[in-house]
Amino acid sequence: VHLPDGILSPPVWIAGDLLAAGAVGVCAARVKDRLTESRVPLMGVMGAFVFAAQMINFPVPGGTSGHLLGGVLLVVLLGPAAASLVMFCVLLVQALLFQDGGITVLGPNLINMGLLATLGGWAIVRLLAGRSNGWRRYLAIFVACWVTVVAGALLAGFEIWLSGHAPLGPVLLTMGGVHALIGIGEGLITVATVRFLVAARPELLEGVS
Amino acid sequence: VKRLVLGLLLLSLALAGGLSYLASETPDGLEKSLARHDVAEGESVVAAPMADYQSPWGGQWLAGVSGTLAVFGLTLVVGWGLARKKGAS
Repeated sequence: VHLPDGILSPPVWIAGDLLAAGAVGVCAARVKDRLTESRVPLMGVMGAFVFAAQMINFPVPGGTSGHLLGGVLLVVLLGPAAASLVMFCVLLVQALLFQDGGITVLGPNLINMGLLATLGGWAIVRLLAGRSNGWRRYLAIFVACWVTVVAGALLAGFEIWLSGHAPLGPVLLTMGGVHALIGIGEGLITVATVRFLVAARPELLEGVS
Repeated sequence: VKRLVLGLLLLSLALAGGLSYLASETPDGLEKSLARHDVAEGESVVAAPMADYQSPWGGQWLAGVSGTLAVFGLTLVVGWGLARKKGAS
């Protein structure tokens, strides 16, 4: 869902950039308050992992493909503020080094693919699972993945419509339809990865705030 | 946790450097939707050194590996920068 430069009209991407910049500022302040140095290496390596995973497109029925976004994965392991900052780092490197996602639309992309999952996905997991660590938590993670991937796609479609490029109904239908399948992949990969990491290091989920 | 971090970093490098060659080449959900609605992809504002994950020196694996390390480094700098300031104040 990486939007390139030149798709969104200036008012839309400027609004998105401002909103995202505000959110990143709030997250940075929160991380500064709470993050202990011992969690920083985990932050770094999860960023690296999400970047690597985003390179791998899996095929989706219907002649298209999708890749992991990783926002929910990050938030489960790092908490919302740190996860949002990691997502920002990933998207910044992708835009600057690889032209994957435009630099002017960094804010909208961060909202669609990052903040929806790291903030909204976190709310969904909390709401559905509370502090449970059993199967309810994994079910909640799966739901959060699917909902945030589809919501991010719809939001991207909405931004394209706002920019005057496509009629609203059809663009939401195509974006939502394709990403309803991609969201299942996101959910399966995220649940499997979290299960694997928790099995390897059960203490990993402690101290997530 | 140190061993886990090292293990995950190696796994990420392997994913980005090697397995990314297996990645599906079909257009992704956004590209497909844009094509269906005849929305042209815009011109890029900055010229990225390794656009579309092709590095001028060694192809895709080098782009994947350097990107993974760049994200790792940037996130560490940001994380340590913020975490350290707390200790100093």
